[in-house]
Amino acid sequence: MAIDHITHIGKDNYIIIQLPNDLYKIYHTGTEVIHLGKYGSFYSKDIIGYPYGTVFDIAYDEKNDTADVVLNHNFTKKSKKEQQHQPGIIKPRLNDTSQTLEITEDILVENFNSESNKLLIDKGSEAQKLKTSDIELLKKNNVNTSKIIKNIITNNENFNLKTKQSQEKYLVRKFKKFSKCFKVERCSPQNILKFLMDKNDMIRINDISLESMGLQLNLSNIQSNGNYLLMDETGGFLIYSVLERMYGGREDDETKNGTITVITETEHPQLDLLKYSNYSEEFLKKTIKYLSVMEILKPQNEEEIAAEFKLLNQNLDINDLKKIEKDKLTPLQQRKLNWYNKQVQIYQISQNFNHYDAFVVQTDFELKDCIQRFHKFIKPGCPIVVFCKFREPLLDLSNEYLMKSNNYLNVKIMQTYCRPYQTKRGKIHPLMTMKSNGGWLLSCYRVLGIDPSDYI
Amino acid sequence: MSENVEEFHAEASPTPAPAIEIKNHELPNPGSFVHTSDDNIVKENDLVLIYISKTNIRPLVLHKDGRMNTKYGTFLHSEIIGKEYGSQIGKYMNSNQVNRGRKHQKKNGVQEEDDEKKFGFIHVLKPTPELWTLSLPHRTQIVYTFDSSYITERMQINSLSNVLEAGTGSGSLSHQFSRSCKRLFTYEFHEVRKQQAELEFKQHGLLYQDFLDGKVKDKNSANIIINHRDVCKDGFLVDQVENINGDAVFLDLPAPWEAIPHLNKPGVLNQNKQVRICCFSPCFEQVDKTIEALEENGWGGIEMVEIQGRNFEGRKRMVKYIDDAVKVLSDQKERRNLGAVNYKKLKKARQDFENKNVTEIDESSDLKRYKTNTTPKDEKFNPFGKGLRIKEGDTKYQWSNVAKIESEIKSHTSYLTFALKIFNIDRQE
Repeated sequence: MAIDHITHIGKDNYIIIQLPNDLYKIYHTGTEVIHLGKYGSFYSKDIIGYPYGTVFDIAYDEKNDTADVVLNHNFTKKSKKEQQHQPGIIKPRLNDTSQTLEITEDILVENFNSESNKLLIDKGSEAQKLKTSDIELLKKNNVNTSKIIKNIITNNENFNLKTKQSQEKYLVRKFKKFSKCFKVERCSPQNILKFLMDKNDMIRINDISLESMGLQLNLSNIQSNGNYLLMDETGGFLIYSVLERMYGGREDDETKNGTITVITETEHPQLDLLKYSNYSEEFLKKTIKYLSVMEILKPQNEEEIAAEFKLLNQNLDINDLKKIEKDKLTPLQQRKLNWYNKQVQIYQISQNFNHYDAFVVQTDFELKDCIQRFHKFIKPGCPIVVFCKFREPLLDLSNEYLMKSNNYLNVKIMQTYCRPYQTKRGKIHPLMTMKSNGGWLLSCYRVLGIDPSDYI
Repeated sequence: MSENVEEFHAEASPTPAPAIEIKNHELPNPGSFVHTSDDNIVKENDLVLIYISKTNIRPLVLHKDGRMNTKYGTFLHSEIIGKEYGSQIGKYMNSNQVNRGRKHQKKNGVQEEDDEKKFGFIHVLKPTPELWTLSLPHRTQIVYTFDSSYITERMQINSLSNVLEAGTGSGSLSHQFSRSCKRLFTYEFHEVRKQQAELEFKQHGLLYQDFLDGKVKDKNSANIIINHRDVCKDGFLVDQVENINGDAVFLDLPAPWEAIPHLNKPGVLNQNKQVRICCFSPCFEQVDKTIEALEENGWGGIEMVEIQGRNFEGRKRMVKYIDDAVKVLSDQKERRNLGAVNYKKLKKARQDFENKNVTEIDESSDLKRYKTNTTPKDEKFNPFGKGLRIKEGDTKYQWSNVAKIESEIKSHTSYLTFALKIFNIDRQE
């Protein structure tokens, strides 16, 4: 059976790896060895074929040769790095359906031994008898996670004096530090968002939260056979999210034929997040069309294109080129013809008035400008959904333009946020901190307003 | 327990069911919810949404000789047919319609404005699941767009997903799922509600059965399989297909923990990939029991969240400068002083008048002038329009833009509990 790239880890794909300390990292399965820093490293071929969402443990052979350890007792950065370079053996957790990176129950149960903290005196780091170098030694010897934790606990004077809750917290913290396991996730937009949030790179995607993204897509009524007009200032994240709703990663379904047209600020837009989408180049080329603001607002008609062609190609007439049969064209002529065809296509797209099923906007441009100039491309009765990091630009757009015009209906400004809870039975409470700004949305419908005076 | 939940649902239903103008036996043209081809024209027998106001959106099937009554008067369906979607349709109401409410005011002697004709209008829109959510007849508490969009995004529902939904309810979420997913299996234990929902899906061209029967051509939109079933007792397996192969489950049930073990049956969920679940419960106790059941059945990554969505409206706030108020006060003071002087003069003039004992009243006399000592209304300095009826945003005044939150917010809809599971970890070669 071939590998299903959408549900299973494939060759030459981008994947996201979640580490025990809730960090997310993007890797490519084409690289031979994947290094996870202190969590170990492994051969990427070992994980290919497993379903996304699988948790793997990295196992190393435990070294018992103490002499070797004494010799290498200097823990310089270099020796650490050398250690990382040895890939361990991958073991998927086959019998666990929950697949979480949380601390395993047996480590917890084994180590509980207290009920009250009335004897606890806070000694800070003195309570721990193991030195950093001792712990490094344990790590270097590839001692199994639960053994390291056990060692740390037995050498901690205060551990037995802590309450059960505090012991659990302590164990979880140590587990996050010493366990060698990871979870592989698909590079879906939702996971890329987590990755960016984790990298503290939300500015790249305008601080949009998952809930705002979902709301924007729902309000835009994304369907697999629709044509959508987008303005994307998020490095391709919005485009990928729309594509995901339309196609879900599958490229070969002929009943789905939706397209995306993107209005860009520059001739060559920076869409670095789109590369993680794992779609093929041809598919992206076929589905997404890019038009710069100049191309859409100052289109050249076919005559002008032909004139420009003449100017660029030493008075060569495009009609002469068209007459030549396809298989007799030289590569240079073919390139020239392609250029011409592309320009004609751009012209045709720029004449697609009343064509698109939604206008999905995330842009740095003045919003009023955007809507005013591009609304004619949207089918009447279809939604316009604008995302902005701040409320005030949306307010100005709504009050100064949309409400004054009779071409827009149902103007609404929205904010949504998701309040996460710590979800452990008996200990459910809202998390102490959450993301404060997930952005604002404005939605309205383009309509065809009438002039009352025409009706008398 | 389950009784309490029912109560909560009943109380929380805030909006009354709107009048529905689709007759039960009617079957409008299929594909109402699918994007139109390029012509975008409203045709006879189309299901459309008539937008009357923000809180009044009505579903309607158009007939050649149909009529629709709104507060802006009667509109003929033939006025709508042939127009483009998104068209505004307006008319001047006749004067008795405009003045209907004001008759008693006249009796009280309130001055009537000019008998001006009032312009009323409606908009005709193509149905979308989100607009449908605002207009649909409420049979139960419904899931609003803030929640449903998060559920769709978080469960990573896309055009390849098979989704299971238990508790069809009013079908608001079913429409949104159906739009985004490959196939939707929806279950409702209340027989009448199931029939109503089924009819609705049929009218909207969303039933998978109709695709099989050849009544609807679009495979991507006709994707709902609805069953009358108590999933807590009888599980999820259906007759229509052998293997549901579900990717995502949404449980809007009073006791989701009773349904969760049924998901383990082979054929219900996709066994070889990561599957996701979302349980929608208003009460904390339900969440607790749900988490217990999820853990027992091997679900991981359990997280409960709450969605808080807010609607705002752009409004205007008058800009009032203190200096203007100072000017108003000094203006008043000046006039008052002038008035005092004038009063004295008036008194004197009256005395003179009485002394003279003239019978005819001379209009141009000082008396008249002093009596009406006030400056005309429009000459007074009145920067904030005091005493006048001012429309928000009147161009004579200065305004700043403000956002006003809706007057009543939904502070709690339900807790959403998400979890993940992979049944078998099989390596593909």
